[in-house]
Amino acid sequence: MVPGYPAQPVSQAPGYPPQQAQMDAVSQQFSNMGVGSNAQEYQIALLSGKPVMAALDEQPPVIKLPPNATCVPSPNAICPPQHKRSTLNAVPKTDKLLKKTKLPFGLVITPFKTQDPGEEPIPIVSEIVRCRRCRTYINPFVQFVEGGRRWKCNMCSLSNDVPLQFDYDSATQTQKNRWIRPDLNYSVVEFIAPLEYMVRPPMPPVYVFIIDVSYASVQLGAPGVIGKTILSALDRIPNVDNRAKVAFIAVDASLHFFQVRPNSTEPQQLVISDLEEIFLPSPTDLLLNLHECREGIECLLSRMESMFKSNHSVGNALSPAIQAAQKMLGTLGGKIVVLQASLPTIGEGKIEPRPEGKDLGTPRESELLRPQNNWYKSLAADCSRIQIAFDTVFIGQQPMDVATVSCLAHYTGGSVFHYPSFMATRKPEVERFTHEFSNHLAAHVGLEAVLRIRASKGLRMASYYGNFFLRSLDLLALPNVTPNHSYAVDVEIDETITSPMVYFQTALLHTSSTGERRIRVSTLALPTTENIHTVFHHADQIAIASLMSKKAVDRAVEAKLEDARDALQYKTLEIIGAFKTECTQSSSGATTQLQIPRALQLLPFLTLASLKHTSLRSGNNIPPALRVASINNILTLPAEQGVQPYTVARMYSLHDLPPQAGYADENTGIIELPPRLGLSADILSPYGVFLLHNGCDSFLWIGRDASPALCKSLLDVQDVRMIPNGVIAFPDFSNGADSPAQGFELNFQVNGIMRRLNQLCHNLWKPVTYICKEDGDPMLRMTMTQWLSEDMDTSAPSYQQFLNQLRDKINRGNF
Amino acid sequence: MSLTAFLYILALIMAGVLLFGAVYFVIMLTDLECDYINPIDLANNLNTYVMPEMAAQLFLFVTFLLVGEWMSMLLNLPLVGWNVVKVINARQFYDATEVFRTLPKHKRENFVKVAFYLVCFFYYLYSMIITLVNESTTPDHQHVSF
Repeated sequence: MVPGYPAQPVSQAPGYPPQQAQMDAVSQQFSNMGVGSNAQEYQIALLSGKPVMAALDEQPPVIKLPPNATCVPSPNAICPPQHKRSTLNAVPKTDKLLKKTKLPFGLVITPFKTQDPGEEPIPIVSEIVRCRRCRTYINPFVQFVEGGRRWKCNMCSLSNDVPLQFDYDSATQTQKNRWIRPDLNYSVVEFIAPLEYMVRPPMPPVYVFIIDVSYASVQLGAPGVIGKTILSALDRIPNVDNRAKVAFIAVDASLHFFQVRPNSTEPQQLVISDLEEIFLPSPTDLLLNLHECREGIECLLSRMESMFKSNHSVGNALSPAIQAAQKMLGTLGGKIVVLQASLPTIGEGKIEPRPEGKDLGTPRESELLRPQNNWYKSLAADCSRIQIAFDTVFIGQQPMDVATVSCLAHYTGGSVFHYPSFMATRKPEVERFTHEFSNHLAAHVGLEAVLRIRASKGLRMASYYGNFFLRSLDLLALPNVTPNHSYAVDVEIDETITSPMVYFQTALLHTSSTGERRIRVSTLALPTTENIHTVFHHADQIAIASLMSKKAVDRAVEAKLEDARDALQYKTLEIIGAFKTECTQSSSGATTQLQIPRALQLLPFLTLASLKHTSLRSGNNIPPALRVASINNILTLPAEQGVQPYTVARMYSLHDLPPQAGYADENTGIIELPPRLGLSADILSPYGVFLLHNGCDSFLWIGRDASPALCKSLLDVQDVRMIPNGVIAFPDFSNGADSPAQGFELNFQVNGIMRRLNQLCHNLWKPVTYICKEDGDPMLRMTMTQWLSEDMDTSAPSYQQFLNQLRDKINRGNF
Repeated sequence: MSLTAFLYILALIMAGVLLFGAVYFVIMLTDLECDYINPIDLANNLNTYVMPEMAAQLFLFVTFLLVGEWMSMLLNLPLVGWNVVKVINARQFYDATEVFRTLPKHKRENFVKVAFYLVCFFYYLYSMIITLVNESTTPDHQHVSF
């Protein structure tokens, strides 16, 4: 018996293996009943007026598992949606039924999620038990049979022997209670992998920084800021057992290596300008042990700025630098961080500048989103095999062909960062870079990882979306697994499913940054159904929107942007049309109202927001670099953050904040947020102040007639006319204290709200705050109004118009 | 033996080799599907044979054109056209990062190639026999043996 568990609606007493016959009978009854036949869930929403924004923060539809679905009644057996989210929480039994609903079936998986505040750590299990045939890891959904001597695999139904150590501890010679094992209680567990799961000793964290120091980069002041940022992050780089290694290569028309002898404080610069054949200038002391060479590294990084201050070299030998880094890492593997501010012009991976202007907004635009040559792509594939990953950081606005160079990160599980308005003299931009980049370096990455998704019989993983290299049909190779990166997969139903439940198990084998080989396993169980209503009413709109936008951006790169937008709209139309013909009385003929299950009420709005998002937006004013970076974000963000705030921004009014907003809740310590507003310009009143936050940027909209008291409390300014327009470093007058400074309550609350909003994005971003005044810079106002997804703009209709279009097309049967 | 007959003997041998090549491609792609080989090795392996295969096929096409064997030339024309289009669009090579996405297409293409080379093989065999028989029955030939 597990102490502390709340009462479970299970008839069976805990502590005993469930009886198979009873289990079957119950599930039979269950499937006859149809999942979730209670009336509340059949609510149908009418699509008109404003989208119900509150639905964005709702939990996904309940996964209604039959009683006795698990072998132990544990509240943790249901897989948390943050780890793995299915688009359908009731799975149709046949492909025919799935096709009838038109709903996309797939998973959005975040296998390497970090621990949120207030969340329990993932339990760790030291012995691994797996099914002999299908290699499924033991999980809460297996059944014990033959009096508990064998366990029946929930994927392939094979009976396996229960290992002795389940009930008996041979070390202490005592009986054990198998029912408290974490792997039978928790859907997400981490196994410590024994030797069989290693091909070599676990690798240390290794980072090679390739820093652009050409003229373009020096002009922005990038080398100095990069040096300082890495210097400040040195203590945060995961280095538990002092094994972490770093190396630095500065790149202009030649390669600058830095040699530091152990215990010497003086770094030596070795320059190679003959780039015909790449060789390392010294066999040793280039790849530096972070602990032993600490002083030398610090000295080197602090001199980064002065060393290249007067560099006028204009070339960029990125590809020779990568080849050198590859040689340096050799068999060790590791991460290469590429920081670029100009176009690579030297070596095999030389990139020709592409004229961009005239192709924007035309069908040829997608060409600019694709890599120009295959060099970077095939290099990334080769590197993925030797466990080398890339992160690419693009700084400044010089043409850099982000589409080509970011392939490095795309195929090795890395990240892409893009700072178009970076300049060392702009404080908020420098702060943003420093915060985001040092957080990224401090992240506890997983190394030499592979990810496999297993599913019940009859289900097949069709195609995958995200940053990885697909090594075989069901194995994603991730030389580095970045925390909180998500991977999406399309699932196909190959054969009719007969069982009352289906299972998906994700296993991520990785080396943790502390040097341990581990397997993180998460198991998701979903009920199956033959009832089309059940499928519709248990669809998860956030997961659907996330999967659809990932597929759309993938299509935008592979085919055309226009095709991607059409496909996205058409899919939405099909889903609403299918619901109308299959599940409502007015199955044919015209209706004045659009009906949709309550679970999907936001789908048209989310589609519209995706169409208006930078990644897919039509028009000729989005530079390809920006587009590629946002496409990459869409592909890697988990469903929750990808949809909200990255696609659908959050907006709050600050002039009428509830008193407790922005303050930490006394019990949970979580900062409370004010009620969110709809994304429409109608509510922007001239006397108000509003905050719009999309994860990477935040906009403070200040009305023309905002009261002086408001301005004073928010920004310490006497009058609204004295507030500057544009980027500001948002002040914190309380200096990080727990209570507001006298007279600056609003400032304190807003700082609290912003902190909470960043926390909701796992602190991935440090948004720059733009002050956007009602009567201020029209360009800035336009940038902000792009995020008001309910309104009409040049790229897409307003929400109401969009609904009318959908209704007319459905009434005409035109889909 | 005339030039034409010699050409058909050569073509027969080449068609045989190409047929083997196409079968090898199919086997490799099937191996990839069954996870016996990883996509990087597959791409490296197959890409070395892509251009030689195209060159061999183009060579046959050109020689048929020069000798004036119109039927054989026409038989080869579609594949030459297909290859030229692929080379122009730079799509002829296998891409390790995309190969799973395009796997069904690659397999279909190679099955068609197997069938094509098989047809070619028997057509060349037939043509070779016809040419040799014609040669041995022409008076001209008798004159030589005389």
